[in-house]
Parts: sequence; C-alpha cells; structure tokens
Amino acid sequence: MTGRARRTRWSRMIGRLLQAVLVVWAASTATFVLLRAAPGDPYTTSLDGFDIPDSTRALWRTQRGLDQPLSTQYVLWLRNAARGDLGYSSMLKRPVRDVMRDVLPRTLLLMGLALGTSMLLGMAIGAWQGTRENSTGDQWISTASMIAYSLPEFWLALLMLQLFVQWLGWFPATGMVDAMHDTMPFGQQLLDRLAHLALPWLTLSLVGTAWFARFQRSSMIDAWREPHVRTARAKGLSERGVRQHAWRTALVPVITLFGLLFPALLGGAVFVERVFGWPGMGYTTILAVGARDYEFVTAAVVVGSAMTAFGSLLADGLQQLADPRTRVP
Amino acid sequence: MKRLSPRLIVPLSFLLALSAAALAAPWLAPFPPNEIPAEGIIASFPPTPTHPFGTDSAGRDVLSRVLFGARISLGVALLSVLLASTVGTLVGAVSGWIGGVTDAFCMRLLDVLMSVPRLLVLLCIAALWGALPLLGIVLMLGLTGWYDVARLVRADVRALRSREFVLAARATGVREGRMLWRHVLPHVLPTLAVTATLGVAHTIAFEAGLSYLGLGVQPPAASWGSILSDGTSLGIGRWWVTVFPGLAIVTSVLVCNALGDALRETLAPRQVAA
Repeated sequence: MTGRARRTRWSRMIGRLLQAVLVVWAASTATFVLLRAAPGDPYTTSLDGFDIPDSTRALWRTQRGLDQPLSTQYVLWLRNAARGDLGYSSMLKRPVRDVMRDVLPRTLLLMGLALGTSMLLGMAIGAWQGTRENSTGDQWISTASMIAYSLPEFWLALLMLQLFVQWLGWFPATGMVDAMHDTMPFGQQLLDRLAHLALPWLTLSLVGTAWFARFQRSSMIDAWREPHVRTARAKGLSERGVRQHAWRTALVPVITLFGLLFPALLGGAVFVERVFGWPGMGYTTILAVGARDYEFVTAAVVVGSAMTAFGSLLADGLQQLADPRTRVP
Repeated sequence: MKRLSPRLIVPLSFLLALSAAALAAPWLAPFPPNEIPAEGIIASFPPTPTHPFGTDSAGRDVLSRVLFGARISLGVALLSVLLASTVGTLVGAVSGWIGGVTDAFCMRLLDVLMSVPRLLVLLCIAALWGALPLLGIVLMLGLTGWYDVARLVRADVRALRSREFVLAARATGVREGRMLWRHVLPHVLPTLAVTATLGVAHTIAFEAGLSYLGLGVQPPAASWGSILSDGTSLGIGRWWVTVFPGLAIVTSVLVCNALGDALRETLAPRQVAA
C-alpha cells in the first residue's frame, strides 16, 4: 500500500468519525430542544398531588437553571455534556453521569453477550443452511428462524418468565442478584449472577440468532453461486475447503448487519430489562419516562445514538478489513 | 404460475382471515370487550368452555378482547405504515430525482434520524405527552417509520433516472413531475410493497411492546399489547392473559413477515436497480 492510499484511508476514517460525532450532536440537540421547549418540567408534572408550595418549585427551577432562556440552558448543557456532565437525575437524586456509570455496563454486558452468542450461533446455522439450500433440514430451520424472528422480545421474555420461573422454578425471577448475594461464598455468588443473567441473555440471543441465521443463509446462497467458488471446486478442493471459500465472501454482508442490529438490540434490551427487572439503562429509561426525568431521558438518547453511530462506524471499519473491494483504492 | 405460489397464497389468506375476524369482531365475540361481570365475584379464571381464552383481572372475556383488539392492533399498524410509506416515498423520490444538494441534505438528515434508536424517540414522546390518543399513536409510529422507505425509494429512483425509457420520456417533452409520477414511481412499487408488508409486521410488534409498557394505546381502547399487559400487572400467574393475545401478535407478525418474503421473491424488486 502506498503512502497516499494510507492517507486517504485514514482521512476517510477520520471523516466518518467526525460525521458520527456530528450525528450524535444533532440528535442530542433535537432531543434537548424537544424536551425543554415543551410545556411543563419535572417540577410541575411529576410532583402533582404533592403539597409543595410554588415558591419551592420556583427555587428548584432556579437551582437547575430551568428559569433561564432556552438558549442559555442549551449552551450550559452542551458545555457540561462536552465535559462529560450529563445533568442531574431528578428521579434518582444523583448526577446522571453516576447513574449511567452504574446502569450502562449492565446493558452493555447483556447486549454484548447476546450479540456475541447470536452472531456465532446464527452464522453457524445460516452457513450450514446456505450450503444445503431447500433441503429438508434447511426448510425446517428456516421456518423455525422465521418464527423466532417474528417473536416480540417482551412476549418471549414473559413466556420465559412463566415457563422457567413460575412453572419450573429453575431460575430466579427478577433483578441482577439475590437479596442474600453479599453473604454468599464466591462460587455461589458467581452462580447467582449467572442464574439472574440466563433468561434475559437467552431471550435476546434467540431473536438475534434468528436475525443472523436468516441473513447469513441468504448471503451464503449468493456466495455459493460465485464463480470463484465453482473454480475452487473444479480445482478439486475438498467440500470443506469450498465452504471456507464461500464463507469468506458471505461474511461481508453479515458484518453490515452487526451495525444495523445495534439499535434493534438496544430496543429489545429495553423490553427485556423491563420484564426481568434488569437494572440497566433501558429499564432506568422507562422509569425516567414515568417520572418525567428529562435530563436522564436526554442522556439516554445521547448514549443510545452514540452507540448506534459508532456501531455503524465499527461495522464500516470491519467491512473494509474483511472485503478489500470496499477499501479506498 | 409463479405469482400464485402457495408461499404467497397461504400468508395472504391468513392475513385476510385475521382482518375479517377484526372487522367481524362485534358478531364473533361472545361478550362485549369491556364488560365486567355484574353479578358474582370479579376474578380472573383460566380458560373454560364459556371463556375459551379465560378472563382477565377485571373478569373480562379475553377472547372478546383479543377479537376487538385486532381492530386496534391491525388498524394502527396499517395506518401508520401507510403514513410512513407516503412520507418515505415523497422524501425518497424527491431526493433521488433532484439529486445534488437536496439529495445530500436529505441523506444527512436521514443519517441523523436513523442514528437515534426508534424506541428512545418514542419514549421521549411518551415522556412529553403521556397518554396519546389513537391518532397520536398512528402519527408517532408513522413519522418515525419512514426512514428505510425513503432510503430504498431514493436508491431505486436514482437507478431509474438514467434508464432509457426515462430518457425517451424526457426527449418527448414530458414534464418533470409527470415523469416522476407516471414513469418512475410505478417501478418503485415492488420495493414499496415489500417494505410496507415487512413494516406492518414490525409495527404490530412495536406497538404491542409500547402498549405493554403502558405507553401506547390507552384504555378503554385496547390493543393486543395492552390486553396482555394485564397478565402480569399483579405478579405472574395468569398465563392465559399473556399467552393468547401474544399468539395473536406473533401470528400476525409472522404472516406479514412471510408475505413480505414471498413478495420479495415474486416481485424481485432488486432487478429495478439493475
């Protein structure tokens, strides 16, 4: 690779990165304006029914800067956000940053595990199907993945809860750890965590696996017909070797799915967290919506769109690694 | 004939049956959907011959509620996809046809809109307005669901713009708007049909999820999602309230997904771009 090509590739990556930052900025600004410009704030709506004098509410507003003009509020918010200060959660009475530091890793853990599992399983299943198009096995699996793909996450989660918790009693119902977690020895603590993780993980992975399997199957079928695969077979390569040849080509579209799946999985995680009481970002956001905790909701949108933007950036980079044709010449 | 393959016929007839059941709900349903039994104790019973799907926590017949819920669930999904397809086609067609700065602006705008997970947008809206009327839910789902349509329509229009028949139309002096409407957009219909069908599937599931969270359809109207949320409102235990409306959701989502796949194979919208 020449120096110039390397430079163009870097400048393209930097351009994409800047674009991602701009996109996140625009999305968060829109959210900020939408939420702040609307009538009402956390100190009018969520505290209805409580006997709080107007002077106290006004004091709270002054403390949070809500009496300032929108432009001043925005500049302040942006300046703070750039420093990593995402505001103050009126629901949890803590800085949003601290709350995020607690809840975001839990969501990322769930999503990461589910993404990894569904990618590995789905790609293996889809590749197997793609090389045996329209065989009995392929048709059965296609039907199964079609059904799994059509299951809404929240309903699947509710079924899991009914079956494995209510009827079979194999797993604990909700939360991340047992009430007695702190008193357990280390080995038992680990098992306790796994038992709480199992059902949300399984629910998200099942749907994700179906996504990946469907995608990998069709890209494998396409790749199977490529001339270079035929050539490989004609040259006497073993079937196993031929499959590897085809799989490498079929990998590329699946990588783009990785970027696409990020927002979908985040949405699924919200529902799954809600059903299983998993105290991650999704569950907290739902609670924050109920409590009109605008600063947390805005922060959730910022984090969510950042995850999406950088997910697609990552997919773009991975695609260039896997497929030389997408690279800048 | 390829067009009438069972892959197309089966989901289509299922969809028609579902819509017929929704339309005929007042005649099919054994009880009024919101009727709370006047005499005796109000309690949630598992399925019995009188109540094949059981009753919910207020003693209402779940079967009747599912039948009436079909009107809301399917109606909201169809209307919002109609809205999304219209907006998406409009933006996509104009952007792809005009090109240049307009196109670049529309595409960057789409980048921004698509980067915010849809559920978070809807949660924001719910945070602002709380209980939305049915029309509000249709608007909310429709106005957040057109991005994919716009992308696909734009790609098709851009590919079609330089085809010979468009050039021929231009050479004979057909006006721009008419050219787009009569010569280009008809070729986008296959893409639209597939996207809209898959969109209905997605929207049914999405609305169900929102209503399950209590942020979608508000009582007394009830979609499948709001009906089944009653199954867990007082702890776990009433499996029939969760399972039966859920089966209705999964059936209709599955049917629309299967129909979308079959349409994709039959209409092969990809050849438009070729």
